[in-house]
Amino acid sequence: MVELGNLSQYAALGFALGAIILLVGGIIRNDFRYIMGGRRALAFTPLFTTMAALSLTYLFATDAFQVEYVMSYSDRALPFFYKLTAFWAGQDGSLLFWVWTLSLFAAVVAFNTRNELEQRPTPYIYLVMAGCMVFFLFLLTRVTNPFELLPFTSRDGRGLNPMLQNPGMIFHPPTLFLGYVGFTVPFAYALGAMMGGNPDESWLKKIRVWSVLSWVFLTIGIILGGQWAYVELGWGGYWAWDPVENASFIPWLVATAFIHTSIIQERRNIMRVWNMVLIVLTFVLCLFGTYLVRSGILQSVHDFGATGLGGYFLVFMAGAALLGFGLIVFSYQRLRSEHSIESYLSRESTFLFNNVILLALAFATLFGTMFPLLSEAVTGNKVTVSQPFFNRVNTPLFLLLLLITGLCPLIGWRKASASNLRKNFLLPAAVTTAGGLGLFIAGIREVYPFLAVSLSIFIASTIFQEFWTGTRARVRLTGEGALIAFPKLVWKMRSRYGGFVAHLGVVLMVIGITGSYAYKQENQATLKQGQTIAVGDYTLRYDRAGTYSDRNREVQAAEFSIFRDGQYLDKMRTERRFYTNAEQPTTEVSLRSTLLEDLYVTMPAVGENQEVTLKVAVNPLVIWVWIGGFVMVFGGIMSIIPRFTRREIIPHV
Amino acid sequence: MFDRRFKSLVILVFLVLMVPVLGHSATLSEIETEFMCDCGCGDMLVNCTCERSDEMRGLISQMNNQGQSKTQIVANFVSQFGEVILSSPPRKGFNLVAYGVPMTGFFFGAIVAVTLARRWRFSRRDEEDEESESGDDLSEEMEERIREELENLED
Repeated sequence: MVELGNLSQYAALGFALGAIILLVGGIIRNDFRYIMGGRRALAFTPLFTTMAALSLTYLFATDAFQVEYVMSYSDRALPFFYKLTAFWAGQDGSLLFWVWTLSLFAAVVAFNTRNELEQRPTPYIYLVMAGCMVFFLFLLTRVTNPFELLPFTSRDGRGLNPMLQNPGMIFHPPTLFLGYVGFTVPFAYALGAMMGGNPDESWLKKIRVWSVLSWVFLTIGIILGGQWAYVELGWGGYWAWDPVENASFIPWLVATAFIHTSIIQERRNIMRVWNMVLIVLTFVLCLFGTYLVRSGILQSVHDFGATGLGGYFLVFMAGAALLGFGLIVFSYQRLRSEHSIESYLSRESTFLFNNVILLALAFATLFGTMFPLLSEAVTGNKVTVSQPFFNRVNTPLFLLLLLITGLCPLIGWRKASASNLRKNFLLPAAVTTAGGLGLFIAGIREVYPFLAVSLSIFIASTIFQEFWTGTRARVRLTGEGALIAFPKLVWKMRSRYGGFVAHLGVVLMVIGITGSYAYKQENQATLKQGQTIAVGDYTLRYDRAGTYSDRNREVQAAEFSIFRDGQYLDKMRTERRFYTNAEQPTTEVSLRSTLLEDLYVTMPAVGENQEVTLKVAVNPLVIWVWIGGFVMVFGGIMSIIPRFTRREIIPHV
Repeated sequence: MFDRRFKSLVILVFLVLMVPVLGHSATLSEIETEFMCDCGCGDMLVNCTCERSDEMRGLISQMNNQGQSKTQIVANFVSQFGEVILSSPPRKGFNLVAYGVPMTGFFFGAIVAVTLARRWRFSRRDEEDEESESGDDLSEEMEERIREELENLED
């Protein structure tokens, strides 16, 4: 299997290199046969990368500890399912997963463009895809090979990091990778369009699904990462503005900006240069994220930094940036739009300002992340830039973004009249004022939480107004009842309403984030059996403790009774686990989650006489962060579901 | 008269809104958010669960019990561990760049966007002038109708 894996990687590299040679030959000689050959070579690479991926999976499943990578991330006691997911626990497997998905995407692109071979951008698109694949396959075969053998066969492996033995970690890395890899396709199409001399709107239409789907995967990856941090790390939060978290959030922000302005370009043929810049930037930032993670240049809570791959990524990233931005400069005259924004009071201009804020957020996050390096280089002083800094700098920008998100649906395309705006603005403004007053009476008076929730109410009311106006128009046109007209309207105009659903998800997330950060209550105490600890309306009584052994760990467990306002509610149990392969114990979070709040319990220490140190927190509205994330992802997917039927002709009644 | 009343009202509303913020004294966990754990984990002290973080929490608690304010505790920690212990850079010297540059970037971006939008808008007006000279002008009413129809079109 090791040989098969190795050979498959080399074969994939050979085919990708072959594709490049044939494509370059085809472009230079203007020979269609070469381009066909290059396309075939590209389409064959997934065959070999799949074989390599299956080989590695088999080696993990069979405890092949003569392979260094398997020995480093698995052991005999590891549950079978985690053995399979240990595939992407380290750098080598992650890169193999990356190249496997990239090759599959390349094959899909080759299939989708089967009837477009005569179009000038097509061979360039293949060329960019093949170029990216060669880079990753080079790393896999020459620098960080997952099939590297040890000089001996180890009796057991080092095992998987206990923190990665969590369901969230099974899906978090692959979804992030799918997001990162997915943006290679829009990047390839953008470069193809410029190199092929045809940078009009056609490339954008073809990559809409790719860009939204990549954004969806990136969103899922980020949310799952937050969820994992919440249930596994035991500090009671889900986002710490850690450099590695930021590394995924920065391209997400730029990709979000791109998805918004690409809609404008599709509808109005404007912002062509802007969109090219955004998609090149998104791809480069995806690479930058990987560089940040793999170079170990910044200290992070993630422990997989400093692997020596940073230099390679830096060179590749610089090459991609030079090529992308160079082509934009070179194609500038052809990229210039024929049309333009007609009025400040138009949806186009709100999209433009939404872009400015998203990019400012990305820049602020990037600058803050890199500032420790800059400070050390300039002053020689080491500083730390963490959560408080990012909250201080980014929160005003987020609030401004919420305001623009709310205003956007109120303003029509091209040029909105002031009277129309007033008419549209009236209801949301009234609802927001009433909501704000309600918040004030309810005691929510701190500036940021008050503004965040009020603006969320504003966005939600503008979205519901949109749904209501559309449904009413359909009822008027078709004579259908509102209950039938509403789902039909949403389904038939899903690309438009999918966006609104995604914005509703943002609203839910903002409410969850505001509640959980601004109104968190916590307490910590060391208890003897029978003693209690109180936090908010809850009281926890420490009932009993015990120890037991599981497959790959020794466990100290403690059980509690929970009371709310004196009434018994439930029992909870929290653990400290001592994994055989880890020096430090891990704390297992005990969670009681409702729609209103989470009761979050961890046990940082157990004393010699069974006294336990408990950290208890009441985190309001956290569940809405996950629900909001799900709604956002659902909205994104909804907006790209293709049309299956012919367009319905609505009869006039 | 109205103007003065209005201003007073705005200030009053603002002060009422700020009451909880102004009258707020720092809790232990708020003080903990000022620091990083120095065990090398890269976590903020308030988030870290290691033994070293417990020691640091004990130190903060001790200082707090001695009646030290948040500012004094922060100063004590900085003198003991250096500035690297702070979770965000203090607003002085070169660190001001960290706070200033993102906002400057945002304002610069906003100015560029406004300039672009203005340029586009004016070039559009020039085009419209040319169009109207060539007799392709549409009445405002017709434009409004087309606009509404476009908005109602399925994507």
